[in-house]
Amino acid sequence: MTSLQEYFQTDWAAMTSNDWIGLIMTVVVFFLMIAIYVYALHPSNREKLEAQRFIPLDEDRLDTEGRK
Amino acid sequence: MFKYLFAKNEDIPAGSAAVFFGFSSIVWFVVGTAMGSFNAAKLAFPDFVTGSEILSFGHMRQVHVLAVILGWISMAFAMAMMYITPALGNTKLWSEKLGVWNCFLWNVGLSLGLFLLWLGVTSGREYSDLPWPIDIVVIIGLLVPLGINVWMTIKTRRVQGIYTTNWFFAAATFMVVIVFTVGNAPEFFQLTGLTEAYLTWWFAHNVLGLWITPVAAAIAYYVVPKVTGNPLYSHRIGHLHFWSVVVFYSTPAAHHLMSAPLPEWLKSFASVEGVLILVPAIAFVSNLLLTMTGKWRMFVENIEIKFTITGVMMAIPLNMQGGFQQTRAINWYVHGTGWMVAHAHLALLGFSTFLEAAAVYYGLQTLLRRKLYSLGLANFHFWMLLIGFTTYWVSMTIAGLIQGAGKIYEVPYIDVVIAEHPYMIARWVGGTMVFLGNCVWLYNMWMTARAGTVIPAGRLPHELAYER
Repeated sequence: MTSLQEYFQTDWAAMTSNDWIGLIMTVVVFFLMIAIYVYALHPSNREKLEAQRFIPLDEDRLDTEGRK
Repeated sequence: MFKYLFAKNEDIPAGSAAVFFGFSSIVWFVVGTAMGSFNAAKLAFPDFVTGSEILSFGHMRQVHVLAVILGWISMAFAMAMMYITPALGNTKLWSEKLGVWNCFLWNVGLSLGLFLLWLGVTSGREYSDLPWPIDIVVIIGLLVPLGINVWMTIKTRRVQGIYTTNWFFAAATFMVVIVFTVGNAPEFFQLTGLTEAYLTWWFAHNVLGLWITPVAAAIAYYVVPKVTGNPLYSHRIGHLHFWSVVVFYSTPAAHHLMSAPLPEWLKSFASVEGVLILVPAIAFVSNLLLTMTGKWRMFVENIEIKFTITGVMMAIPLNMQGGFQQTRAINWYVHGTGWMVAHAHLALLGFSTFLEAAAVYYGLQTLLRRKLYSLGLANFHFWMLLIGFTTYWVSMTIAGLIQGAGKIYEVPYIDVVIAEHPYMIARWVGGTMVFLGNCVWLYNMWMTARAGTVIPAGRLPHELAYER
């Protein structure tokens, strides 16, 4: 067994149910993160996502003079 | 405030809750830093105020920490949410009355909790020191109503899409309830041992990671574009920042307990996630600094930008420290030393405080429709905060390294105490400067409300800052 194989060696039989829950959640979240990164950085989504960057500048919405 | 508690919602002027939260936050900042200065004096001068149990360091430390986190920081957050969320949705706050009650209960609940801590009624768990009945008050009376108001205001918005700031506000108000409920489970269910230790540090880590850090960042995402007039450099990078915070910040905690008998895989996982926090950090800092393109003169001229960009830039050393100090290679040396105290203050008194101060400065002027009473006093406040904090941070970092060396080389403890004494005095000087600066701030904002020049219709406070 190489040192790398030794490093990644896992005793699957010793995994408890908590270990499996943690492992599955981690793998699922990993793929969800990849999906979000691809979605956010895909050029076809650029216009849609970047349109919102102007929201704070649209107008002066904080003018509270009209308040009672 | 009291006259609005039983008024009809439509009779309460828009922005009232935000103004009450804003002034409350400044008062709690003065109280919290006064206690910080007092505690630092006890460490610098061991004979200072002895013989009184309730004024002992152990009692006062908890009051200082909770007054700053739940008083100053969280109430400034509530203030920011109550004027920024409606502004970004082109609407009014969903319920001004709920906001006023929220502020009232926040002050009452926090005062009660801190009074109990002062008397020694404590859970004894760092950061989650409050006894469990007060934890329930915090969750039900403080955090849930704030979340409802934020979520309903976003739901009733009149613009298409949700700006990054409101993503963070909505998520953080949800996550902080989870953090408080799960993090205090050891008290609710009497969990002990390693489970208690792990949940204690899961709470302590995520109060920072899922509440203070994201909300402070959200403030920067609003203030910089609003005051400079530049659109945010990239809303997509804001998305990446948001989701990376949610994933990478929620999972560490075991890295606070690297020497504890926790499962090794859990510590390794937490450590890797801890380094990955650099992903959202770089996204945040680069996005905001690029938004400043062409407007860097405002970093010198404008008080809100001065505070905001200083806070953003403090995220660089904060996350470099945070990312690497928890790895096994470094943690063995700095764990349990003043280095960590310096790092915690870089997060709370450096990074987040400068951003919250910007939100309170900008919000109070805008909501009250009055210019700052004195720009000179505001600049004085900025420099007292910056120099005071830097003095504190540098001295405690050096003291931490001395303590680390003493720990590793088994230097007698009393020798370490003597070696770090000058740094404890520097810590007290720095902390006291912050406290005095805050007293000036409270006076300046009080006078702004009383005697600040009225801002004409159609103008914003930062446009008029130098028209005097």
